[in-house]
Amino acid sequence: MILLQTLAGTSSYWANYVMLFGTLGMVSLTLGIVFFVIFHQRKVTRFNAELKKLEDEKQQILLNASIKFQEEERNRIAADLHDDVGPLLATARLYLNENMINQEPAAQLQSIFTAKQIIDDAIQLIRNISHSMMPPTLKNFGLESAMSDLFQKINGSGTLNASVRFHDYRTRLKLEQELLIFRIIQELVNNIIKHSNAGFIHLTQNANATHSYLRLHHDGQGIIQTEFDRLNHVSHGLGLKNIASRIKVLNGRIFFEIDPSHTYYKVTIEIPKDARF
Amino acid sequence: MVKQNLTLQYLVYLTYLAELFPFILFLIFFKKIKSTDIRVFFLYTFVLALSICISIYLKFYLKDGSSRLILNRIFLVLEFIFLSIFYNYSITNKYKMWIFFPSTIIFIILSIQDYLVSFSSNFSFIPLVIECLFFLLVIVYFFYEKIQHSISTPIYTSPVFWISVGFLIYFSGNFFLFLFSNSMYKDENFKTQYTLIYSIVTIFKNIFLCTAVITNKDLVNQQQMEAKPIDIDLGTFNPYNKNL
Repeated sequence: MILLQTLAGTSSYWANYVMLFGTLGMVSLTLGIVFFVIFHQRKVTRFNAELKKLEDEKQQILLNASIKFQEEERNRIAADLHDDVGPLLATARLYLNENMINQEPAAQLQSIFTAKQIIDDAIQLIRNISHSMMPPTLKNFGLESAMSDLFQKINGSGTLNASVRFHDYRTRLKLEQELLIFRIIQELVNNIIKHSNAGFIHLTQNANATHSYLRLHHDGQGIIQTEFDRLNHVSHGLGLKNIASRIKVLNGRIFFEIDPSHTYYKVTIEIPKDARF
Repeated sequence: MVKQNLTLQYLVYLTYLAELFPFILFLIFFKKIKSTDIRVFFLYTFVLALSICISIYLKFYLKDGSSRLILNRIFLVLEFIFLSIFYNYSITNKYKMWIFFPSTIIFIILSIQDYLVSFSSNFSFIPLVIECLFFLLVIVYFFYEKIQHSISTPIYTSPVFWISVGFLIYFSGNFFLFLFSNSMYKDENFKTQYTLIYSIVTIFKNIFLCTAVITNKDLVNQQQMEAKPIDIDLGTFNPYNKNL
């Protein structure tokens, strides 16, 4: 600044030039800053829009998967009722027809007994359908018992060694949360049984002040996070999308990992304790 | 030479007119002044228009040059205060009060001291250069802050952006003029160059300020449209009613 002032004092010719070019330089610099800000902003805005579009597409896939899953579940229940319970009740009706009055008392008794057995079977079937929708153990005794129940059944088959250990489950989560977690674990276990060829599955639970954690270990062929994210974005396959949408409802996170020694896979679920419904 | 002087004279008149335009536009769209920063800016345009009117009166009727220089000094201080308040509302940095408030106090003291030390008829060189430098830095920081935050709407839909562009061009364009003004104000060649550059830069500044007023109007209109409640009676909706 002092140099410029000195220059202005000595030669007005040069000072005029310096002033003119200085002004032009300053204005160019200013315009450069303004254009940089505008173009940078446009770039960021475009990137954000792209990101939002991708997120919307993902949401749409999850929503479609959830609707499709609901429809499939309804179809399964409808098929169970139509194919199993319907014929049973129709058969029971046959045994209890009007001609029964004209039968011998012994035959009447036999018919009533058979009809009773068929109705018992129908009741059992309906109970099974109802249990598959909402496991009574889960409702009455909580997630820990329901998980133990599920893993005992798997263990009972003799093909897979399944075990459960809950470290800190003193306060139960909300029933809706428990059901969602149960379904997630059920789906994961189903996938492990179907695709991984595992020899053991082990479920552990632990918690801290804010979150509850569940971890599944298995020694079969599993997937890692990148693969889960990729499968989650493809249009086919419902299971993983259902897991992702349930995790989203729970406001939680899921991690698919392989241990450093590459001997077993881990699936960890993190659920906030105060998730709102 | 006479033709050149006449052209410069017209340019000066045009500059005076341009200085009044933001205030006139604000008066037209007075109802659209909703936010505090725009209110402050409206007051600035009012003070600017008022000082221009007084300046014209002093120049053409009283032909009093020294009073005009004093008026310039007063306007400079007011401009600094208004712009400080304006950017205090526009910048989100939590330490902004620690910058703007002391700077304004220091600037006022410095302006008074400069007035007392120098002759009253002298050009207020030091406060002008300090104001230029200070607001160039503030505006560059403002843009830096805008780049940091990712927003969904483009920056040029905000009136603050156009105001900042206007002042950035004004201060950067005039910086060298103000810097040389102290030693070369008596030089005729410099005076011509000064008038030319100052007028062009000021006209551009006012064009951008007018753009800001119009952008503000559009923005407020859009916000009002978005805030409008849905006025449909969904209970009586009839899909077979062709008049709907």
